Amino acid sequence: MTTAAPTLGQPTRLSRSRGLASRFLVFATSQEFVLLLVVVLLFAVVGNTNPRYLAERNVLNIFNGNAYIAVAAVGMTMVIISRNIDISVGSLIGVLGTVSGSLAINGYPIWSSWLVPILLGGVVGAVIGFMVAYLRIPSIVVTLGLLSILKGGLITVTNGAWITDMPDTYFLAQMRTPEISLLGINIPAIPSPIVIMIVLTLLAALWMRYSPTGRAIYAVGGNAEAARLSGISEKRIIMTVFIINGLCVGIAAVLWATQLSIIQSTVPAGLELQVITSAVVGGVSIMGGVGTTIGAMLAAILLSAINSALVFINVSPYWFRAVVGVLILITVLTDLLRRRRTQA
Amino acid sequence: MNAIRRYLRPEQIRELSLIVIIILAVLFFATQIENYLSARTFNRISTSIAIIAVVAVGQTLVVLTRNIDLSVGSIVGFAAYFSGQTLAANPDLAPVLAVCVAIGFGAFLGLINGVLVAVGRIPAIVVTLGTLAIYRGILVDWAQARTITTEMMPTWLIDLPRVNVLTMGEVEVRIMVALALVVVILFQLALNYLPLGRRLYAIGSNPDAARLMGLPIQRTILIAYVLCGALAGLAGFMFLARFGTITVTAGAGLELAAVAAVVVGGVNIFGGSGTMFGALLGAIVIGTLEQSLLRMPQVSEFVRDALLGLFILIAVASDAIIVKGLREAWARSGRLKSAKTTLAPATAKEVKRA
Repeated sequence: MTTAAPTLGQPTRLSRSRGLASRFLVFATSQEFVLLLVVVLLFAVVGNTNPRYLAERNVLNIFNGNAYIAVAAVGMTMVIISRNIDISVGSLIGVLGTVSGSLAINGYPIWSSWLVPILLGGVVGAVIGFMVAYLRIPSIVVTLGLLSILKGGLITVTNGAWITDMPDTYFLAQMRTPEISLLGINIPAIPSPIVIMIVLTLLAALWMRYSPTGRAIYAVGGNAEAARLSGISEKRIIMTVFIINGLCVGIAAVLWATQLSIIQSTVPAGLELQVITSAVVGGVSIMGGVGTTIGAMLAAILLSAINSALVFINVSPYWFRAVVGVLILITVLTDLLRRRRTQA
Repeated sequence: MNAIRRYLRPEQIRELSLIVIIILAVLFFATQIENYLSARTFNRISTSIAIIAVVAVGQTLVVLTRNIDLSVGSIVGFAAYFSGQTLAANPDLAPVLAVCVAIGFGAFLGLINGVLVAVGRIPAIVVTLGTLAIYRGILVDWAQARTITTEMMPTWLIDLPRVNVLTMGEVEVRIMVALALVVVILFQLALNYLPLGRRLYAIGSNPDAARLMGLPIQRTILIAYVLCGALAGLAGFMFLARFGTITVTAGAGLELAAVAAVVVGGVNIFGGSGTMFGALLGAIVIGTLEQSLLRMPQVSEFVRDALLGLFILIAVASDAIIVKGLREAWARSGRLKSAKTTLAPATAKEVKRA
């Protein structure tokens, strides 16, 4: 079986040999394109019923507020494509965010309070990767145990106290790029989380599409046996994937910690689910081998937009979960259909 | 050494080593906690283990089919709260009916999981991670932070945990412990002898082969989830009987204990192998640690969670290394001795050629 359903990041050889029309069809039915369409449609419909939804502040909020989830979803995408899972992301974001805030209020230089959590994330990722790749423990067991360690450890150390009074220069997520005027076109100031989210997603997508190591992630997840026979070291790839995932979680934690003036030093509830959902709705198959970071980012934006839209059309936020459930269902069903088509 | 190899498989050595771990843990805690080695401690810890064991049996059913149920903690809490609420509203409800309410409610929540996984084809981890949050969310919303207290419960329920089946001096085997043992034995027999039990193994070890054989995969997975929910419901009732006071956070974190018990007990998380007795041993290890740490005054609830997680990682890691080493040792000695088995495939090939 080919490892790839036709998605943006992974056109199959089959689609390349076909004509222009069928290549367009493959593109138009890709998860990424459909998601983009749904986001645009959502903005149009909700904006039509309530114009305040399209106000600049709200649109920025939609992209900005959930950017850290999209960043974490970049790492999660790689982990899931390699046919693993990480359910400790939520608690790791909580721990690393607390580390970041504690460094900032205890007089350490600001750059260290941004850098240390990211590196620490990489170290934790390396530990997970070692246990999964070399000790051959299923990633779900490793991260379930780690989740418990991090969650319990964090509350024990901090007693759930809030961290406040960070220096003004600490708030990375509240910074914006300078306004640029290029050839008479004014580019407005963009909040840094959006920039980081987009740059990281594109870098990861290109790396996974074109570099040998990136391609190897798809190979390991799609067919581990075939990957091994073609000389790919599965252990090294899984190790790499978890280290990158840890670094992404570190960046996400810094964005999460620096966006508000208070850091609740507890684990944000249900965060791992949001990250995994973004990846899955973004077209990353939990069976491994399929998906792109672009899809995961678009899904994270879609989820954020839906959450905000419910407020604007006066629907109880309780329905958010139901909507998310339906989205997952649709995604998985289309994934099944696509697989059937490529196999036929 | 050869004698050991002949009579024991690596998996059996692993079960023996679990028993050694339990003994070592008990000895360690005996030096740390006053009056640890007493009948009183045994009576209390055994009741908690009973709850974990019942949940672990359900979890094993699901894990055997290559799936997982992370929502069991929420189901236990919801079923405990729901049956407690039912009993508070109808104090005259027959005890059997009260148990049925809890089991039925758990089975219903399990059915939702099962339909989404088996019919909806959504990955089990996504479904149950979602329902873990959703069930708890609905419970919090519905309960509105009201707590079920012992005063609201009928007297038979309050007395239930202290009913003994067997008394040896001060050591008592309580009705809930006996119930858990009955559940473990019944489901072990069902796994060994019922078609459904064999199907769980078949589907977990090779889904493609199971499909080609014409086994009803979807229905079997659905049944596994319903049974897992029903057992979590039963555990919820035991939870209610044991504690009497039920808050909306009841049972939180039980999914970790259950999955840990299953994994430590040697059930393969990728499906297809494992036994209920293994899961029971795992539950005893996890339950003993959890409850003993709880009795150490210097260890808070949160440190306990962290230590438990750490222990699970260490246990699983050392287990992976040791069992791998044992298997290799067995394979090496097997190669030396049994020339017959290595010959067999060769002769088959020759027959084909001829």
